[in-house]
Amino acid sequence: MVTTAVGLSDVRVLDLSQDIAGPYAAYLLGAFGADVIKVEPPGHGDLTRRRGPFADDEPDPNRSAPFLYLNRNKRGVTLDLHTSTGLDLAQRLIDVADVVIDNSEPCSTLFDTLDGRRLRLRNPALVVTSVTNFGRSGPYRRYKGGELVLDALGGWVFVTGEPEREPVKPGLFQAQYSTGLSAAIHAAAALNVRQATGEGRNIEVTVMETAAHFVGMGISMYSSSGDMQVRAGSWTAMLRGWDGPRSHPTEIYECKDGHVGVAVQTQGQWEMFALAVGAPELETDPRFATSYGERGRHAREFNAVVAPWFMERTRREIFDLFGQYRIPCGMAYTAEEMLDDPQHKSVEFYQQLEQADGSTLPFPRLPLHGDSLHTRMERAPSLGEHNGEVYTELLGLSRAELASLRGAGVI
Amino acid sequence: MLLHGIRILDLTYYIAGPVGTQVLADLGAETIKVEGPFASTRTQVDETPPNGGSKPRIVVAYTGFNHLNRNKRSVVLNLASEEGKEVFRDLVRISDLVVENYSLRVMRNFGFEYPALREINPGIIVISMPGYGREGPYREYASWGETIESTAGLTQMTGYEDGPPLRSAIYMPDPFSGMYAAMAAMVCLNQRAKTGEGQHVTVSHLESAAQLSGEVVLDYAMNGRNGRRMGSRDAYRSPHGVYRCAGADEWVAIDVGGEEEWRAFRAALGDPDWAHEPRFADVLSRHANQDALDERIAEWTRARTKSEVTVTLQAAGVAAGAVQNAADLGADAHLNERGYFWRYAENLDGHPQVTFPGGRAKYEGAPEEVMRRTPAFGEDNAYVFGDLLGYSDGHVERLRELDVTLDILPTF
Repeated sequence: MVTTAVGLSDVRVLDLSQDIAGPYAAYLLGAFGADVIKVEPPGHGDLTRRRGPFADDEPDPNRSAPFLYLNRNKRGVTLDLHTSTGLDLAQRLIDVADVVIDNSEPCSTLFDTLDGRRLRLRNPALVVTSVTNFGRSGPYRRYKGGELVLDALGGWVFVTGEPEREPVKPGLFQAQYSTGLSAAIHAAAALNVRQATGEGRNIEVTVMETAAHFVGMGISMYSSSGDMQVRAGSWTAMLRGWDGPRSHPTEIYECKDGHVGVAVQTQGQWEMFALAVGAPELETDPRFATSYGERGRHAREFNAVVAPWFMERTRREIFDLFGQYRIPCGMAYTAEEMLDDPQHKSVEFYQQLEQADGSTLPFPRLPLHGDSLHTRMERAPSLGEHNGEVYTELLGLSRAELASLRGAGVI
Repeated sequence: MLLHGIRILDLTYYIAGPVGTQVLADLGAETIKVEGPFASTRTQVDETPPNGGSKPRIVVAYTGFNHLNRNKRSVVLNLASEEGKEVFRDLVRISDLVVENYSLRVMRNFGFEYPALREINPGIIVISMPGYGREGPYREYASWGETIESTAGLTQMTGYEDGPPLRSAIYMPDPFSGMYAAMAAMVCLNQRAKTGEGQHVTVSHLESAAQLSGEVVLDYAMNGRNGRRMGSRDAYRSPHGVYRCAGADEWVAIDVGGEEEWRAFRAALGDPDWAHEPRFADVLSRHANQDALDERIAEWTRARTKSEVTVTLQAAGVAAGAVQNAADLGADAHLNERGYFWRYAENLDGHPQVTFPGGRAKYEGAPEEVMRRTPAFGEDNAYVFGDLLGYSDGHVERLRELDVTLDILPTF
């Protein structure tokens, strides 16, 4: 039977990256079928293996939540790239790869070795994807930074938080995940071109620039009109000098059992909101009834009027009522509540995946649905789990050679 | 350019969809915005009333629209009319992708669900972006990025330790699901090159945003713990925060990792006595005493500018970065040297010059400047009807008479 390669199943990716953005890009290509080989330093592996939370709160390189999350759909090998034997083996792996994902920063000793131009002199068909914090050039190229510093320099921290308080970091690692997604998009685009031309590409994606894209509308607005977006809590956008948001209600309201997010942005939604909440002032008081701008200017007074209505109801009651009225609404969910949500359950969004230690953990499926879209989800590898099959089957090393590499600490 | 020769019919509006097609248009895909006769994709209620006029008015081509729709073309088509549908079918015949972010009922009402489009062009790839996907109890509910981010678990993890859940300020699920739509487009194009077949992919905004909170879900499954808001702090290490600098609303972010960085940090501050106190001696004690630690650090930063602190600490090998606002970003030496920004000499709204982030990746052959300014309403009608579809002048005139298309923005 002849089978046609589906998705990216004819593609091999060599993931030399660590941390979040690079591994997330490689995970995504793997989710669409690519054979991803993750290369980690022997001993402690990807630095994410040292980052918590860990299962049962006990540090264990094979039970780090972020590692298990970011490295699904990969085969794992160890290799010391700081030895000449290790580098030689890395080159042999690169020779059988279509895509290389690397996050060496300019301060790294591997930066020049893994430079895309150099790698593509040997194999012009290679797609080399560099995923770094600040990029391969420019005055900040040797800067250090994690999510907080990158979100700050990228302009996202400044607009996050309450107007009267200090700016605050957006939760989790969203800029780094987005950078990984962007890297995967561009690597896949380069693969499309390669199908036609046989030519690979060097792709460069950075976290700071991805974060700055999030505030792109603000940059555009400032350069055009001089208006600057400032912190507005959970209100919709507010500009420097304003005393309220541009429209209202866009807010997170406290209710009986937690918080709900509401965003009324069209006239139709406003009419439905006034109907659903039913406070007479919403229809008669000119501060609230006349316009978006008036409601924005009197957002605090508006909230005082509607607060009791929210406090009398649960998130679920409000969410389902607003759902029927087609008013955009969200429930401020914890992890436990997401796992229990009927929408997710009905589409089996969280899938149980057995781990190397025998435990079973829930992971979200890709957010993409299609009858002809082929995706997969396999657990992350333990450190060096696939050394045997990758080095013998793929590179043709003998068992004796493997043993000697192991003895020398190269793998 | 990586998507040269690919043609997209862009039925998206607001943010999520336009970000997705922006990624594709920036890569060189010919992206044709199909706009309704009421121009509802490019207008919004005036943003300025709070301190300005009190009367709401419709503003045309607001700034966000200009940023999101560069490198795209515009054709005006009334898809509710039979003649408009016929033009759209002609466009589907010669296109590679249709991207839409309507709620589920809209394409259904137009009669443009995937099977109908596939009948016209078996190679067509259709990407749909309803908030909650196509199935499940919420599928007909309305949503914005501002509400999705709560249900996806993001607002519970954002905000001050002593405050309520907080929004991202940038409608995070919108750009993130837009990028997932672009990812889907790439995979579908790749597969079509092998099989010749198009396909239909639905992108759920909620599920896209929930990719960002996967670690929190694992923590719950592993340890029975729900994540909590920590302000700008980290669960394991300190200092990790935002500190006040000299000037109004000026701040710097500092993130000190292991012992080596702590020693470098201490030295950069001039080795003050307090930094040698036992309560700051190691990672655990610094984390336990971070309130006191943060106060000491803020005393030092308050006397300095945010760029002075950034340069001093980075020179010492410590992760630090100014909390940049829109003005700082436009002037940022790093971004400017890397050619990050694209510029219009003149914008649609009449402002003389506009700066905005350019392409999302660098690669050989990437455009160094914006290729096309954001189109005016119907600016590419003649190109689409004449050059692409080969309609006669009489044919186009008839479409105008039937109000199937317009050449200028209607007045409100």
